[in-house]
Amino acid sequence: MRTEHEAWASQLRKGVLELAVLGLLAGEPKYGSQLVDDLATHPELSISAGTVYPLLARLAKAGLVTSVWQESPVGPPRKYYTLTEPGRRTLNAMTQAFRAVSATVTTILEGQR
Amino acid sequence: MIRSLDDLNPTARAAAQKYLDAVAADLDAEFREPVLCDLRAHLNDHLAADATEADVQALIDEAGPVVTGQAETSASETFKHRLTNGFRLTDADARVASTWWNPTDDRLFLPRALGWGWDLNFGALAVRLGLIEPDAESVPFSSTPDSAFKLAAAVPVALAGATVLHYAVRGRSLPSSLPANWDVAGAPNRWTSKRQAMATDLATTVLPAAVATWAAYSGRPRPNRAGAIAASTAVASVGAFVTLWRSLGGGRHPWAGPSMLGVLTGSIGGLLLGLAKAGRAAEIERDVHHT
Repeated sequence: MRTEHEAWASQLRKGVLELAVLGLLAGEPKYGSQLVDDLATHPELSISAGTVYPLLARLAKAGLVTSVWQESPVGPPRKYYTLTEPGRRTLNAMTQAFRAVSATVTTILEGQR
Repeated sequence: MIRSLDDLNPTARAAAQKYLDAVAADLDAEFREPVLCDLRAHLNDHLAADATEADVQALIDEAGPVVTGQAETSASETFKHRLTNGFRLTDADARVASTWWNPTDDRLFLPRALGWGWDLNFGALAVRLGLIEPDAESVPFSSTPDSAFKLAAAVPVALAGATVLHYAVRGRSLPSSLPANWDVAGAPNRWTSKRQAMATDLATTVLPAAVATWAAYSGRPRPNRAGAIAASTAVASVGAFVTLWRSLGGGRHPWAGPSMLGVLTGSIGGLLLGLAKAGRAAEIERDVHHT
């Protein structure tokens, strides 16, 4: 059975997953497994492929990302995801909100010491 | 600051009580008492004895909606959903498609699209076998061309045709009773008349073939078409296999049961994989070869 802390940490990760994926796409278009590999380099997010692909489908449906197949020089074609303009605006708004919340919570926690 | 809501005038007290009652109705029993206790204390701290109804409402608005932090669906809600989901009549064909073929979900078994239990997620299986990417199509089957649906509908039509041909050619030479049920060893343990067996076998193959053909040529959304053709193929596969099994007569055929399961899963999985691959190819054609 999950402890209260584990359940909270899971909720926290779910809350920032969308921001993390949009953030990774901000620099350049990426294909699905590339995104999964990039996220895997941040084990504290503990995000699996089973979480990323449904999220990508949801972001595409919401018009925040768009996908397009491209030829690959080393294998079969790959589907690349790109941020749309609404996606970029959403990323900016989410980033501001996240930073504000993060700074406030950090201030509170540092005040406890 | 007041000591209790009783210190308020009647209209202000009624407004405060109405708010607390509404909050209580939305809260789980587990959280109700402590949350209400805190809210009462909040009202007492911020209201004066001469507070008006408008003052109470302003304080309620400032407090905002009460959120208990239950972002995840409760176990009882999940159970209720699983119990009733397979019996909803609306969009049953789309539900079949999204349950039997959901490559972005890595679970091999998903709650059944029709009835109780679990269905094999052929999409997750295909991804694990490296046959297709999880995100090959933005929405499964949404890019599958019409011609692929028509070709897929030919599978149940062929099974129905084989069954009709079987009874047309061999019908007279079949014994008057045919097996109707088999035990785990594949030996018949119940028999039925040839006429009844033929009627059942034709119904379980010809009707699904008709449904699949209608779906393939209908203008319904593509995922619905895929679900209807897959479900029809499943029924027709069982019908055709039972026809074959009956023709074997008495004796033990322990391979028959597992073979039927293999034919069933193979026909559904192969058909859905084919439709998804056709959709993938159409997307690649659109993006790579037309740009």
